Amino acid sequence: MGQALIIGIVAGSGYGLIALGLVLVYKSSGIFNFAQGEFGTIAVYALWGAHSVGVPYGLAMLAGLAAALASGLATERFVVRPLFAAPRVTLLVATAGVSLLAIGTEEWLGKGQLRFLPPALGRLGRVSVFGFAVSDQRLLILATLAALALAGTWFFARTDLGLAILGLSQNPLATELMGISAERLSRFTWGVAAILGGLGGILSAPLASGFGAGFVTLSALIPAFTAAVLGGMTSLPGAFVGGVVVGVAESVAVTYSVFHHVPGAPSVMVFALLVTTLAVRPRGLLGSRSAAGAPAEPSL
Amino acid sequence: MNGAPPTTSAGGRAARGAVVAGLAGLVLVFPLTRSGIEVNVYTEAVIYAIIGLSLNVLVGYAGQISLGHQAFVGIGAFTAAYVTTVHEQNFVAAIGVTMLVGAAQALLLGLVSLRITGLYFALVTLTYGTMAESSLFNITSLTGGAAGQAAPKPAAFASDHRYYFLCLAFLAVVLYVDWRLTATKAGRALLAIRQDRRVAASFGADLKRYTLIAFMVSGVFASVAGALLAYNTGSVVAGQFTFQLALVFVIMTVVGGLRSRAGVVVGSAFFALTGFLFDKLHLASAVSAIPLLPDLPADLAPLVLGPLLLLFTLTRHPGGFGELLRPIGRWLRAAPPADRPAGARVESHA
Amino acid sequence: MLEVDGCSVSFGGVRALRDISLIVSELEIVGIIGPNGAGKTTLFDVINGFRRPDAGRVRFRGVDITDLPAHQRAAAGMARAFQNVGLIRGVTVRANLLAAEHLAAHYSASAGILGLPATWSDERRLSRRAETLAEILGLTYVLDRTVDGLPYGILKHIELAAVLATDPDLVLLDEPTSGMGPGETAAFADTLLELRRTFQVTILMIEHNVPFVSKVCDHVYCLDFGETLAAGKPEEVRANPKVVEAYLGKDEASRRLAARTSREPLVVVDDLQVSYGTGQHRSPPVLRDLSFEVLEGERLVLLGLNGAGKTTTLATLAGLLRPDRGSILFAGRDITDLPAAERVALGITLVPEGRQVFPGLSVEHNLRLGAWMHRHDAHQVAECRDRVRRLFPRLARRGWQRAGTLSGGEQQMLAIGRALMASPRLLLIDEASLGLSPAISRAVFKMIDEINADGVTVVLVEQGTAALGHADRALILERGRIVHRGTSAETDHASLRERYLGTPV
Repeated sequence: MGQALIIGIVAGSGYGLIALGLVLVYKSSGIFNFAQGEFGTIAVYALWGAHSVGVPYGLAMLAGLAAALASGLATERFVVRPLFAAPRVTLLVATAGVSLLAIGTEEWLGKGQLRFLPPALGRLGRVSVFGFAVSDQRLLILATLAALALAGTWFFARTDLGLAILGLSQNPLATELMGISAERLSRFTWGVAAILGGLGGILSAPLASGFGAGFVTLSALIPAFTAAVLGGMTSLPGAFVGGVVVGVAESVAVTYSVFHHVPGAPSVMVFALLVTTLAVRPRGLLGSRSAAGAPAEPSL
Repeated sequence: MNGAPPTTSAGGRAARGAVVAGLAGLVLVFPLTRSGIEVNVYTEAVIYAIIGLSLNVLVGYAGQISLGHQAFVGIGAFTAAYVTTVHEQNFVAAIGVTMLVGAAQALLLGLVSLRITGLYFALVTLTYGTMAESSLFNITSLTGGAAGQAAPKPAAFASDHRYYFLCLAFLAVVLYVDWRLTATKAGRALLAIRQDRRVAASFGADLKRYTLIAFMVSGVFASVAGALLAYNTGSVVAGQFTFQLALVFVIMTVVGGLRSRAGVVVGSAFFALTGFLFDKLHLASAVSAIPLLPDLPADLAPLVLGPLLLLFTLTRHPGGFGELLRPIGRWLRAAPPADRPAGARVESHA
Repeated sequence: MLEVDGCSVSFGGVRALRDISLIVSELEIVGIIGPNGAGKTTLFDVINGFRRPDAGRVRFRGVDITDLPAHQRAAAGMARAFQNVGLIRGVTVRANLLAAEHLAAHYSASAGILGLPATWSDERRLSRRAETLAEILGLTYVLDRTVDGLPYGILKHIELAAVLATDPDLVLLDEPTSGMGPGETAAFADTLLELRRTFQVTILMIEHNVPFVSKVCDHVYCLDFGETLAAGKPEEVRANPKVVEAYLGKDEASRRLAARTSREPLVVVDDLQVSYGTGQHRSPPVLRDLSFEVLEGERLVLLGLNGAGKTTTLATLAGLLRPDRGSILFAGRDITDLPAAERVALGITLVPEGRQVFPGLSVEHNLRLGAWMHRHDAHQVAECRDRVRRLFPRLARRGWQRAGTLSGGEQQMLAIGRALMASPRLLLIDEASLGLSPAISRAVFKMIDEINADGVTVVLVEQGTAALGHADRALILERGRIVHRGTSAETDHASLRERYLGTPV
């Protein structure tokens, strides 16, 4: 039981990291960014590519984040900005298209091979937490996530820029009238979200038994979205909490024998979690009342 | 704008006749001249057209979004395979059961959509789709688990050619029903609901009822397509129904042009045939001629070209193929010119 | 036919309706008048089924329909037209009429989908019915045109046709003569009476055009601030002093400032033409040949009925809209193509209609965002904040309250305060008094006077005449053109008031 819990918490922190980026984009522009996972995968490929030609791991990580940043800014420039005034559903489909493009390109350029990424701290060693063995890569993820959630909360509560982003999400008209450039805010937000996605990818990849095209999207995007929804789509600490809950739920689905007869139990568990949250408490655990669903909008 | 009907010259009539004959020839006669796997590819294109139309009902007419449509199709495929193989029923029974199962599953999702709307519903459909792939379609007793289920063609249509025409017949029926849907009160109710719920309510259209009707029609079309798909390849496997496939379905419908039957049919067929055409026209080596780029395998072509077309459509040309085809359709029917093209429009808040 | 019994509605901290009751008898035409923000549209929402009242009941033909969903009320014989025209965009007029005939179809939805034989003939019948309706309302010539791009007046007629297509017994009209000139209005009055006769319908309508209401209505209710001020025959209601006050504001000795000579024009607007929409969906011009000046340090008020173009004028000055033609000069500089954000840097701030605060942010944070343009100059920001605190002591006390939970008046003050944080030279305020009680409106106008005394040029948009006592000059707009300009003393002429402001004399 305890082992499952611990595994779940640390696994969930990986989801939480990706969820942070999802919440950031949603908070600032009401968009569900389906490309968030691929910002991560692109970072992983870049990191692997740099590392395999001899670049030291730390620098290679920076290369990975730079690649993620570039894709985030490109998405913002060519997809989000032209569709700025479009219904949010259109943007959702557009970002899904971006993720498909990324996956297809990765499959193409990567020639469909499975590859392996070594961990950040040089050894896949284990640290003892409450009597259970946890790899230090996982602890690194947990620590990063906690730090970022705190930083994010401070950013939105204290800085002018953070306030402006919140304002933009609440009332775009008024924001324009304050003299605030929505374009610049959008670029900034997407850049940061992409870096968060990249970070999530490169910290999680060494823990998997190899990565291929669409790695982050296929393994973590849906749990990350569920985590964000669970935490309340507008709450950064909520992303952390949500990630942990989803991680634990999946862990439970894998461990307990009652689930062994259910094929794909973890994905059923995640689905159940998502639907239940949306049906019963749409604003999630920590979200504000206004987070629950946008008003009826024009469709595609 | 509304004058006397336009006069058609003899030359105009002849031209129209020629184009219609050409299209008929392409669809009806050309496949007869080919054989084997190639015919299966054309059949698949026809089936994709049905899938596109089913998604169009949901996204184009009802204004919903479904990122898990591969589940609708998969359920149809597995149901048909199950009924045919495990219960050894005939084709008609299989199709009948498939339609019921498809409608039921769609109805369930429709009920969810009444409660969970907008972006969150899109998320739910996405999750549902991937859950179906990893869980539902792996229930061994129903689906044959990892090995999949066999689905032999009905005896009367065992030949590739005959099966192609069978699918074409199904497409014709689907087109007819789709036409009647848009031309009668249900379609108009959906139009109002999609555009402005208040106006719809004041016209007396019950949002719940018509949303569920749209889901069920979509579900029936999709599951029938799934069944036809299963018979086409002779077997069904869970691994076919991936998240990528769901996105391809959405892309082909949007690029085809929402709410345009001709556009959706052409768009879907195009996507089904992309890989095939890529091979035939040896485009893979054309791609590798560009420096630094390796060969692009034919099966990846839709995954790379598709999103690019999607993004182009959404940002620049929201009407998709449908908008391009509209004037041609008008000419063929010798209808008076319209003063504005409709089609997928991105509505902004003034 | 219709009975509203003691209905009350609150939302967002605002009491929109307080214990409203009204009765509409069969085949009557009943009018509801009252200033903007009085709760008239909310009342319609309650009658129509779009909003549940917190208290009270609604009865239609003796049956309690308070819990009945909107589409079933339509089936019961209630039809509604909307303020911003409730039609389906992007399709033809014919398609709209057919859609409106939804309830008139004799076949079921599934029969239609399957294409059963009976549906074909029924479709033909519906089509003919739509054509007949269009003919009666003189719309045959637009039957196959798409709805977008048609002039506002025609759209209102089409909406009327759609409403009649649902075969109603009770028709709810929301500002039907909005955007019409005097000639059209008179013709419409005749049309309405004719329609009542032909279709045997009862009509309940919201209107601002009081002369029109007097001509057409059997009975009138006047609402203000969510309450019924007066009810009775049109002449009685018009003469009622409470009604006059609601529209005009109390007749206080207004401060007429001596015309300050040698005032330079701060803003010069020349030959402006403005439309909405882009490309194929472009509307006909909303403002035409507009030319005027705003002098430095003055208070200018733009008056006119709804739809006259007042908000459009402010939006164009602020940079939210680009004109098709014409130019705008600010302090000698051509700002016609300057984006809104950059105009703020020059010193032009807009307080938009409906306040537009950031509801999830606190009062302090709202103000802080207002100072964005010079956020790096801590000294100036502090100065501005002090000034705002001085002007609006009530706000100062609520610094950490979320803006969405403030009362209407407080939100208005916050919106103005936020605009002041940018140290503007020109302050544009759109309908400051919307939805506020007369007392609070007066307080807000007094604060605006103080701001003006500090040296800020102020342009106000208002609907009623209450602002005239707080302005130096006034412009009256009608259908996108300026039809009167002068000092506020000149403007306060009774017949002008009656004609253009729709207020009772």
